[in-house]
Amino acid sequence: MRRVVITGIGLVTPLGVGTEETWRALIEGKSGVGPLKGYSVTTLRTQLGAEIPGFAPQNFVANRKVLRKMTRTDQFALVGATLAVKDSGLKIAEQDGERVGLYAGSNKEVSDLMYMREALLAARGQDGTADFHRFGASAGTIYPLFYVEGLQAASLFFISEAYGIKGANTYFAGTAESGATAIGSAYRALRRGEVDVAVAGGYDDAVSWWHMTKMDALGLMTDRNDLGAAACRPYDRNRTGMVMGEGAAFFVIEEREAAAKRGARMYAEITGYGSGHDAYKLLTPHPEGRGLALAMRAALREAGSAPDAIGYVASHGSGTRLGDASEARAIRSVFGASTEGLAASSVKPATGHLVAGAGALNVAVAALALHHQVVPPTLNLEALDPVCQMDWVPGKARETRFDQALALARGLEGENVALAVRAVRA
Amino acid sequence: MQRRVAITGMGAVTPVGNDVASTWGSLKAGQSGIGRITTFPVEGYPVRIGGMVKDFDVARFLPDQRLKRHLSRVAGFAIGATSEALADAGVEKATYAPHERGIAMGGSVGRPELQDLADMIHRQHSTEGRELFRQSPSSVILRNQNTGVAAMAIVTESQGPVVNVSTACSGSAHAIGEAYRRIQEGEAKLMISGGCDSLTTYLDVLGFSLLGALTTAYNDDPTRASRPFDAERSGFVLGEGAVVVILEDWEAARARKARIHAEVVGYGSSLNAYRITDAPPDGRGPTLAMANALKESGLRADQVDYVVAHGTSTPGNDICETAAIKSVFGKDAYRLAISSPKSMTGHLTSGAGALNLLAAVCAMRDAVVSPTINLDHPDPKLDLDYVPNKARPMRVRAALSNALAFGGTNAALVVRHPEFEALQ
Repeated sequence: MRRVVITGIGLVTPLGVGTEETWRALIEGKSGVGPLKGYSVTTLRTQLGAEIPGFAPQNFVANRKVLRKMTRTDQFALVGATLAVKDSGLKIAEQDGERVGLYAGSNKEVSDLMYMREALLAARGQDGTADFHRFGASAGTIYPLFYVEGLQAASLFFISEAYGIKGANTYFAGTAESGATAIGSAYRALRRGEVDVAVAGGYDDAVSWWHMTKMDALGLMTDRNDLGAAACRPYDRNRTGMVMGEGAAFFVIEEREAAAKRGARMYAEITGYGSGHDAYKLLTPHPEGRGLALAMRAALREAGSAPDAIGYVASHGSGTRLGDASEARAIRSVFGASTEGLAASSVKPATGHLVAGAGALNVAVAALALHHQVVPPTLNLEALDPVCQMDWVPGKARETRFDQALALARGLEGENVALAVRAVRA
Repeated sequence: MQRRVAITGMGAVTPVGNDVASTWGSLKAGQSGIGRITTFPVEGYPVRIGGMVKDFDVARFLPDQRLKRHLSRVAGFAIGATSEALADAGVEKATYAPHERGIAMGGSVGRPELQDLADMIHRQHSTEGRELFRQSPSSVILRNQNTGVAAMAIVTESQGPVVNVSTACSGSAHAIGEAYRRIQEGEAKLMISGGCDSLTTYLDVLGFSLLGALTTAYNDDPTRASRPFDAERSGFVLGEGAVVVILEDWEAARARKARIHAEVVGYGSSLNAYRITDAPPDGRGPTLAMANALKESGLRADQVDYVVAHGTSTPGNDICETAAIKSVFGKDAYRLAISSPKSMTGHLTSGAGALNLLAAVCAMRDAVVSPTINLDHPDPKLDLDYVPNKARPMRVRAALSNALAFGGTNAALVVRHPEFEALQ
């Protein structure tokens, strides 16, 4: 089996458009969470989020014309992939495109609905009833490419077009697990020899009005608007729910020998991928986090790692009552006695919950923590909930020596993914 | 050591039948399931026909009826097809531990109701953007495509890998490929895999129409509308449904004396990186997916007898795919039987790849290939054997199944007869 290393990381987060910018802010304990400014939120129950201020994709993407055909979420993906490729130093367009893979995960649902504005207003009669016939008759007012823009897997096209990528691929639809699954599938394809290089990641625009009105309906977000950046409080006794964020985390992964030969910087080696499903209830995690425990055990088994070899877990911690408690139970059940001495932290108080980007971001956090030998803190953790008893690195980053880490991702409907990474030493 | 992968069960809810027996029976008989779209009032729309699933009720497949209100039309199809496939495989809950069972489905996110979209935009418009319309929890859960997959996991008690693929028309082929890999790699012993879709909505009909992808010439003659490889083809016809296969670790299936329908031996996926809406006329993207699947299978081109074509009945797809089959199979391309079930079902979009695989497996099992119907006027540019209009009894040792998508992704699967060696 070939070995797989991460050689490029591209982060687009509320803390900064760039891997270094994001990492520095995470270590300094900064948060991108605040009152949402992109649109009027007065009718939302939750009015907080982590936005990317002044996102300017044209500063990163060579072909600016193409940006006009893309939704904001697909722009995150293209910029994330672009940053990852640049960071890797690999001349990817000079590679044999048939041996380069592309795997992505997101939660994309619609194109910009403003394209249908006229037709939708026309469809709605005096009494408020929407009429299919009137809508169809107004088709001429609709931007004819709205449907192409709305294509769920559109990012695969735009990234493949930018870099001439032609090899193995998939787009996973889902929440946090989808980006992590993309990385897991890419890692497997590379390990097996199906491709030599892969671009993989996750992205989402969870603070758009569309997604916010969805999440508001589900009641999983905090209503403590008064707390601002302190509203998302994973593992804290006073946690009240999630805060959403937007952005992307992308990677370039390569075969280890080839990467070493070209003198690439290797952030970490991916050594294991595991997944498990709660199969419990729609939208309610299993109280013991059984799917997550299965995912962690499978990733550790594939990595050939005993739990006590893991120094750090980039945890999911979204700040919900049931989610955080079940995650802590799952970690303790897998790590047993070695939970003592294990550091884990959630970056969501800093970045917001990137939803389909969150699992991929955790893989970046685990890899960067290994690379720099410093783990970012869990912000806002002031009164540890006894149910969540563990070392969550509260408040301040910590320098530490460790060789292996796990990154976790939990989807809204019970999907769980764990990826194991290991430091690359000469 | 990579594990071998068996197909031990199949299930289908399609425009030509609500189970495998009736679906395959219709395909063999050349019977079209295309008629008037019944999912929204189509008067005044440029396209009014599609392949609709008829008289289906998910209730009898649900152990807990409370789930029903959360299930979309398409999630219901998927659960129906899953129940049939598991029964066909003879798998019971005790056969494997929950974590050894997983799910990989291709599908699409649900479309918002026209009323909801109109209310949303109206609210923003009338308040000059100050107020947002509240979405209802039930509509959010219903549209969420992972709701259906999570419901499948709950109903079947599957706690292994569960993934949801959305690469449009290649979705279920990608999903089955991902499922195949997860068994090959030992991550699961059994994967429930396939695809489901129902893009016969006002939004998709309009969206595809604005792109000129759907035929508008046969609204009054629906069964003749889908005519892959025919000179008078003028666009595809939307269909809906779900097709599910049970993939199983070969040794484990043998150990429990399961009846094995076929063996999955190859999978390849590729990107065109050409144009977002068009297939490359030289067929290069699909060529790579097919060539990689064939290479992995270890089969020579002359050992494959049948290609289940993506064959959408658009002018561009059928040219691209024909070119690709020629590049991969060389002179054997002219020997192959090639046919497109879409001529009868319409395009099941995310479900299309799984339907093609079903046609491949049934053809191998029964030694008969289903036809491409409506192939009345051969296109001089398309000179392969598309099995026009009548099923053909023939031995199928191995088959390749194609799925090519809008957006430029392609996936191909190769299956072979469970007694392939004996057939040589």
